[in-house]
Amino acid sequence: MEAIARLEAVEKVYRAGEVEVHALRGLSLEIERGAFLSLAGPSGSGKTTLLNLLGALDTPTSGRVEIGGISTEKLGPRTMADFRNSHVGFVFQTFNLIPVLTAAENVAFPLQLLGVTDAGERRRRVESMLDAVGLPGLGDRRPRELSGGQQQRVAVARALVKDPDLVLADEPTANLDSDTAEGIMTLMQDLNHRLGTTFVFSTHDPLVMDHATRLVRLRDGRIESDERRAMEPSHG
Amino acid sequence: MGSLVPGKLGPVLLLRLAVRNLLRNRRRTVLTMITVAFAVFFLHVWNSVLTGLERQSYDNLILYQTAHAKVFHEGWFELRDELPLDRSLDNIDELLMRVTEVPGVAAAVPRIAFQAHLSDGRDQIPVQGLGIETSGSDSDVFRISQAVVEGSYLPPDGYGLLLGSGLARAFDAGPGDWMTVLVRTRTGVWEAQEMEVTGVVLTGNPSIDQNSFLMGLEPARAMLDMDGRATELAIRFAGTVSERSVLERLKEALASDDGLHLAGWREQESEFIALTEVKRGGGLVAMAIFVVVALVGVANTMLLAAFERTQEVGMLLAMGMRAATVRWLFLLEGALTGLGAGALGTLVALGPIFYFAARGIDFSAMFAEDMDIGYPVAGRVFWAVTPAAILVAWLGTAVLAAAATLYAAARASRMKPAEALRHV
Amino acid sequence: MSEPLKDPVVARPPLLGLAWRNTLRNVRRTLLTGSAVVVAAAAVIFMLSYTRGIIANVEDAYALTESGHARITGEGYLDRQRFMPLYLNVPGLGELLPSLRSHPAVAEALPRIRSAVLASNDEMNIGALSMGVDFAREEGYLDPQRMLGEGQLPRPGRAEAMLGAGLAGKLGLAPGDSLTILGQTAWRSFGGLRVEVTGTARSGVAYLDASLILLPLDQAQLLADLPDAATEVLLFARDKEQRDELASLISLDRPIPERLEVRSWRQEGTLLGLMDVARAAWGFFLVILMAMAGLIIVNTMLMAVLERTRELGMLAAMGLRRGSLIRLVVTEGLIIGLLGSAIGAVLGTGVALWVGAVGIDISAAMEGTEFPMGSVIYPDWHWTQVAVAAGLGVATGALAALYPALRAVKLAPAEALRR
Repeated sequence: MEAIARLEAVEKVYRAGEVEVHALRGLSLEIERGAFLSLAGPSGSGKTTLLNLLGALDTPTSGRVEIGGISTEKLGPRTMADFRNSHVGFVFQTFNLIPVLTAAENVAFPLQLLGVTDAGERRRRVESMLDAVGLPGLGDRRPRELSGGQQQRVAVARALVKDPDLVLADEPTANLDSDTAEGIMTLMQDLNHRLGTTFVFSTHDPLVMDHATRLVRLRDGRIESDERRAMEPSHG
Repeated sequence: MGSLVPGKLGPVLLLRLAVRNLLRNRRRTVLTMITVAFAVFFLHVWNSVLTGLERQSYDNLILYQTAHAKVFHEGWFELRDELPLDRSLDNIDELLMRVTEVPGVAAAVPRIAFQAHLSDGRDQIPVQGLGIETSGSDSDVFRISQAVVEGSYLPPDGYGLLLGSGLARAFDAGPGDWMTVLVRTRTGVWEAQEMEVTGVVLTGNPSIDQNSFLMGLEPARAMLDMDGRATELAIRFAGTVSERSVLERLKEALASDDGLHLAGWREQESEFIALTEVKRGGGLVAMAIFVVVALVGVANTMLLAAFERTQEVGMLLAMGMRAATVRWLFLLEGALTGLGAGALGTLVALGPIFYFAARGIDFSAMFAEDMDIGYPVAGRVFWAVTPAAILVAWLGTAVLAAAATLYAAARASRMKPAEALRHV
Repeated sequence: MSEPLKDPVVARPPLLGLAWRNTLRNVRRTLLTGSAVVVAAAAVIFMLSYTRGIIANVEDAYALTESGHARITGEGYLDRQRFMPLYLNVPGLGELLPSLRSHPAVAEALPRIRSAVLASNDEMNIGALSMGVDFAREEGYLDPQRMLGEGQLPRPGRAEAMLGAGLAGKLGLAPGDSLTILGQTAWRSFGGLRVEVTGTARSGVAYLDASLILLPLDQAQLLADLPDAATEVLLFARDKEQRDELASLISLDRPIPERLEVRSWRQEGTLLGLMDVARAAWGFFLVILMAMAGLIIVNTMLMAVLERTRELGMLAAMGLRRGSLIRLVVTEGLIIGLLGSAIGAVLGTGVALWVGAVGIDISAAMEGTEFPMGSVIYPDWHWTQVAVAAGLGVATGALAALYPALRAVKLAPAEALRR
């Protein structure tokens, strides 16, 4: 098993005024390439913090973080930005699309940031991604003209268009009704199989947990349980 | 194909984002622009009026008082407040020939400026007297003959008096009245002469209207014991030449003679010119307040916009955009706001500016005729069209608006992505 | 259906308290919205005090050097004022002055003799303005004591004079030197006076210093052959409020001899009229300024208030009527206007008082003009300026909040339903 991400004895401490908050306490985790992993746990268990570390949005107080073979725990903000640019994709519960850009322009955005100057190449990759998420021909719509489910699909396309090592999804289904949520999860599972991209979720939603092939439960900044399940056939 | 530095955006996309962000809330953008446009409008109008006053002043001075340049006796200029007769030019014809041969010179004429007392039999006051050529050549250089509002210009033999309009009013005198001129001649003797007023002139120049009378050059020479002499040689340049080059050539032509002083009109009126600059400075305070208030508006709007877009900025940073690029994005939005506002204010200002540049505003209703408003201008004031200044003000607005956005841009770029993303 | 249900709980909602807490809750946002009012209020106060200072300066200088609050002259003198005709004078000072001074509204009646003279030393003659004054009584008015540069004041009864500093310089004279003054008499002959220069004067009014000779009144009367007479008597009012009416008061209560006239300073020429024009221009400027501030507040309040549509929607859902919602937002605008005005008032007052102590030196601009104005402007702060600024600030805040209030109220209920 090839590890795409590795955390060793990671601690994260926040200072909130006088009080110290230990978000993660000496946590270690290995995530294999192609995983479809879900983090679960009550509020305050450290899910979000863990996701931040995996996404190079933050650095640990102590311990090692390695993503795609690169150690990130000692990187400065600019290097982390560059790292995220090429290695990590994000999907959020609030979709976070840029409202003034069209769907296609939103999906193309990471490519712009990466410095892909060939407009033709960008267009090809965007179109192929939009097809893959099931939204062919909707590229010219603005986010406010799309439904919640469609917006999230665009977000997924955007996260994947740069072929990242890791896609991190923070409560991706929280703002969707159950049918749409089901659709999104099926989509991501499908992409996970076809493209082999690693997905890590953080969620309360049992639906998401059901789709995951590995479920890591957190409590009080530690791993409480780490369950692998057999791959479930897609629900109809 | 070479790729750009990661985390940055190409200029086209940056511009597109900035423009679309401004359009995203049209009312807000328009309101901000209107506020700034107010300040730009007033700046343009103020500049147009002042420049118009200044230009008209300079024109007036050249047409009636200083001509384009004058030649004096070397020691006369430093004592010019006293109008000394003993420091005068004596080789008039030769000077005239030398001067008119210089290319760029249209005409030249001698004059005598002297201190005198003018009396109507009841009262007398100190004034300036001007002895001018009446054969017509004075009108080649000055425009006094066209400023006669009552009576007529001086007759060819030169006997008679033209009164400045203010003097005429003070004495309640007009054409046909007789006045006594009391002078001290070049040799120090006191002389009095009675002369008939032939006309009254109104030039707009207080130095003439309030303080001067004009008489013929030959009679003046006789009265002052100044035969063949003059206190100054006034020169008019041809229309299209560069003043500086003609002045240079004149200086060369006169260089052989040490006893001469050539002064262009700017040198003659250096004090007045300095004063106009100080007057501009005064109005600048008011303008500055307008600009500050307008920029506060821009700063506010951009700051609130930055807070509004916290989550969005967090996403941009999460996707790997450099903080500097975020900052550029906001600065660009500020600059574009300034550019649009500047365009609006400029366009609205151009209307009155062109209108009043053509028609002028008649101030005589507001100010009495003898008010010295500080500029030698009478009656109608014409605004000036100043393309260079207008352009600078417009572009300057964009720059200042960007400056006003600096704080908002800094706040946005310094957001921490992890926190910003979850901001509600 | 009987009378509509009154909201039992929110029949009289505590809007003020709610508005107050709302503005405090997000201090940053309140400060942002209010910053425009702060700047505008401070600017209003400073500009009002500045123009008040200018106007006071001009009025004072003009009154003290030229016109008093009212002026008695020979009939026809003012029409020929430029010539300073000595033959049109005010005789009988011995009776006239005590009569005038006994009037309750009169603080002082000052006789002066003005004439155009030639100041002559061995080398040159320079035209000058001679003023014969009662040095003792001019303290606090023309105030030669305050003007004194070098040397000392001339003494009455002595052939002594004080020269404007510029004039002394031109003639190359210093205290102790002699000067011949040549001038016309009231009988149109020429007279002369030889005086000792005892001191130089810096009046603060540029054109005076270059041409002024101050003589004791009796010496000027000698020179002009005008015993017991003057060319003008300046009257000053005791009470600031009575300045404009002084001339009428005097004409009513004191018999003015034939061949004399009394004029109020307001009737003299266009200088003071110019001040009214200037005041109007400044007023216009301030209105535009407040309009700009208002626009800014509309803008920023729109953003701030729309941000809170959800919360306002919740209030609406709880039963707060639309009218109350509007009143809530407008009250917030009022509070912001008040806070902004308060801060701006402190700022503006501070600047006005500081500059008022230091003064703004405009002597460079005054050179070369014949404007009766001191060369230093002291912005004149008065509490009414704060009232004006506060009133404008509060009104602007409230009015500017009206539009956002209406917008928010329109959206609010829908928002409440949606979330």
